Amino acid sequence: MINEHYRFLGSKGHTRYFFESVGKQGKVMKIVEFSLDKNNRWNLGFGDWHIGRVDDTIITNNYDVAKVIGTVAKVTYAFFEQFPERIVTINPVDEKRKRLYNIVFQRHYTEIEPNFELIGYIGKVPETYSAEKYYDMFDLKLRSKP
Amino acid sequence: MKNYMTFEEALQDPSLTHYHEVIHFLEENEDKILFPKKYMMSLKQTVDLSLRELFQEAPDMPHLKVLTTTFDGMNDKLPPEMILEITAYILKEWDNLSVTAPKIKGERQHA
Repeated sequence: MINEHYRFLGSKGHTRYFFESVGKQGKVMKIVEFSLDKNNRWNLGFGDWHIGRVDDTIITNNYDVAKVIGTVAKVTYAFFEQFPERIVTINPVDEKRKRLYNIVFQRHYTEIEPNFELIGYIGKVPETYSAEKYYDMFDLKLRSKP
Repeated sequence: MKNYMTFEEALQDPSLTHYHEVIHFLEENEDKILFPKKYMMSLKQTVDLSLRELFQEAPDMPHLKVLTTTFDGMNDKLPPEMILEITAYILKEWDNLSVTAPKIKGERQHA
């Protein structure tokens, strides 16, 4: 399960959240945004906030990756609590993040799998996630309860 | 029950004034997509899925109908530059699918 996470705050519409990462580089504000793609597919956007602007390409190196990822996971749970029918798409913007997300899903798939349907994309082709494979992007969907 | 504080609650809390600037920023930019690069990648992937389904149903659909069908249900807050980019992408990908169609049809005939 998620071992550690930061306290986070959410907007009235439940599509925007933020939290404060505290590490070697000091305090960094992190923003999580869910934006509608089409129908019920929503993109998870995530990045830093620096005095009036956002940046999803910056590498902060605040030495708290596990806690930050844990918080984004908590935020995603909160989003699904509000909107259980929605699909969340996760697109890494670069190779480093793609590797990170693949590692996160590989390590935590046994915890994710009972509650979520995870789809991995190799190129443009979707398939049911397999922890042995390396994916370019992901779709996450809450499993319907019997 | 939610396990986090809302922006409204944080704005009422004097101990959280250091959060107010980011909250105001998010509220002032409520209609904007904050991470456009990542968003566009995701939108194109979603469009790809829609186009493949559409092409299987109606491979001879005219471009205008392809555009209206694909835009249906899409985020209506897209800024003009994104609309332009995704329009060009839809047309290009539809034409790519059309180019591969004879091969697909040939495979079907041999099956």
